[in-house]
Amino acid sequence: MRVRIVLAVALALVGGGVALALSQRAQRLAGTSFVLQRAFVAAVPAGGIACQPATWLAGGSAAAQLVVSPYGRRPLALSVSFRDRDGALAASGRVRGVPARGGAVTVPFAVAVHGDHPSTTACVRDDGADGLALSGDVASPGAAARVGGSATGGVVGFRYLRAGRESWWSLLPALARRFGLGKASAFGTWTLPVLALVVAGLWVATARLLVREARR
Amino acid sequence: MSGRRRAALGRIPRAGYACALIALVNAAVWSVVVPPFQVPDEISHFGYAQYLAQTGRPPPQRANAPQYSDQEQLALTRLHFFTVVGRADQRGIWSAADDRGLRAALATHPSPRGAGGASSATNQPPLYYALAAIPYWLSPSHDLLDRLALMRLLSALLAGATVLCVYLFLRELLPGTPWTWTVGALAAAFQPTFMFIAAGVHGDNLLFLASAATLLLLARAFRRGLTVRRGGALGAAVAVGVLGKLTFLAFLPGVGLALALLALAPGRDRGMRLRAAALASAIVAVPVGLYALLNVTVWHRGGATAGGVTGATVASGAVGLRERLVHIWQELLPRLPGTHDALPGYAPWTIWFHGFIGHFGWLDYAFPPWVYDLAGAIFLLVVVLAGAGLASAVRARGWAGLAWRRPFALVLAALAAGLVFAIGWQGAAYRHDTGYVFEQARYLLPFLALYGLLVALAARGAGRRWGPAVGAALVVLAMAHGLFAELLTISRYYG
Repeated sequence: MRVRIVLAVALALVGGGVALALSQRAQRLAGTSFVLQRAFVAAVPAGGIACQPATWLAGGSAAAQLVVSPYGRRPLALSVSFRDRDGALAASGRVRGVPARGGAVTVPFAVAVHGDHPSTTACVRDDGADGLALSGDVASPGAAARVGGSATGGVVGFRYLRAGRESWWSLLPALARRFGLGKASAFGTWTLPVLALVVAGLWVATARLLVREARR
Repeated sequence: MSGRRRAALGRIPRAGYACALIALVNAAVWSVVVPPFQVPDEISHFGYAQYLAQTGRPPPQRANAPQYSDQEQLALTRLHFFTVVGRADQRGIWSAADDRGLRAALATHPSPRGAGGASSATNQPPLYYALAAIPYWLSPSHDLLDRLALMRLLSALLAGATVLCVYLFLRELLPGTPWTWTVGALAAAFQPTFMFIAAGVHGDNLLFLASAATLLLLARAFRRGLTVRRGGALGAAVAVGVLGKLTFLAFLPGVGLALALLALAPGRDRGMRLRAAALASAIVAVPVGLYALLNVTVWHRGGATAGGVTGATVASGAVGLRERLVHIWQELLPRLPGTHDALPGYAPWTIWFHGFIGHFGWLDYAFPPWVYDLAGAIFLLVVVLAGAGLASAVRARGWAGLAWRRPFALVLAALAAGLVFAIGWQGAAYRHDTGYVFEQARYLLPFLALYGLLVALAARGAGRRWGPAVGAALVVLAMAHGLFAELLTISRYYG
């Protein structure tokens, strides 16, 4: 009886803990441009524009996040735009009055992105007064971002964020879809919910085993 | 299967099989949760297994040759592996278009036959990789990701067998409290660091099984006496360990001590015990010798151990004995005055304990810091309870009643010392050469059975009245630990 009570209480506590953890709200990731943020690779003067070709723009993005290092202390102002190969605007946004501490800066898009855009040209304009450096990965001049027509030291990297603050519960459909990708061909969107059921079954089996063995 | 063996398997309590099945299913779940190649060094272990499966021989470790086949290299690139690995802010394939690109690239049939270039795994013996070649070939699909998924199930199977050994080990050590066997084995079955490695194509999984089997067979031999049959089984477990991963060599002095203590102890049947010890030694020596001979004469792998022992022991001639000893000391104990900081922080806490609670991926993500503090407090409680359980058992039996357990404890200490020494010896050179820390908590998992023992002792320490309830609470805690590690992993790669 004691074992049953302890199991019931412990399982309820764990269930509550899981529910609480999955209810945490935050702005969630929509994707990345698959570029490491290893170093500041592109210096953009005040009023200047850095353009990065062949940039992956993830579908469902409502904002772009880039890592910057300001050259001055005045608040930052940035504009970003992503254009497809045919020049069509895929996404754009701007941000003003960002404290010049450096680090990650989030630029909200005017309109959320529909569908993936595998190869856009991403341009970042410094609308501020001091200039800044953009983070990314070291690359050859052919692949690197360009400022004023000249190749910089590397590729500028972006992370993309979804709209609003979401709990993990509301993200479940997206999680299930992502979970089935890049794996064995048998897996798909169904895999995550089925695994959740398997784990639940595992817990029930374990609890039953503990109750049975406690009598020995 | 012989009738005797079937009868022996039939004598294993159903709870033992249930624990093994739970571990197997749990590891299989983990194998789907963790994206391809995100288990540490899985790229190298898969590369070795694929080379062996394709050519029928272990990699020759050719200088300047690619480590991976064209097929694996292409898959790694299309999975964005080199961007995601080690970078918790990066993600892999998240869109159907990217996934289609991966499938289309693999459908161009890049060669699965590599050139056998040297990698971090190629100096290892081939037993695990030969086993991994079976699901590779049995896969109805020749798609790399399909094959990888099936090969990962082999690791899950090995994890299940490891947990069965843990259960049987506890049965030998705590024969009077059968419910504790289940508690300890289930704690092991949900341990997330163990499960993370069991999720991948990784030679450590055979090492863990061989180690758990060796501990079980040593406990049986000390408790029930060394017979020719037990000696043969022990030899087989040790041979599997040595041919599975060179780390197992660290156990040989401890196993040798055990055989000496068992064979030379006063009492009846000394002749039989000596024959059993000789048989165990022969069962280890013959296949290992054959492997060494093949390395030199047929496979031309650069020496009897394919450079594995040399690489682990004398790779850096610049590291002196003192530096190595200081390093080994600091793996377990605080820095002594007059010695340098060989490892960052206090290694038993920052490396071993933190790592055991969870440091996942290619060591690129972990729980929030408060989790480790909480886990430390719980661990302390478990140790106190286990100590109480141990003390009451010693009081009940008296010193004389511990008969076989005393030499067995000595052997466990020798095995542990061997492992710590081997890790530290190699770790000092690695740290000197690269600046990085070599030690990882998974290196302690050959002693997973002792983790099970600790939890089982803690439950027993709560007494007959409350013990099963405390045991159930500890198992739920272990399950919660595993579940939150899975959720963390899902948020790392998919969220």
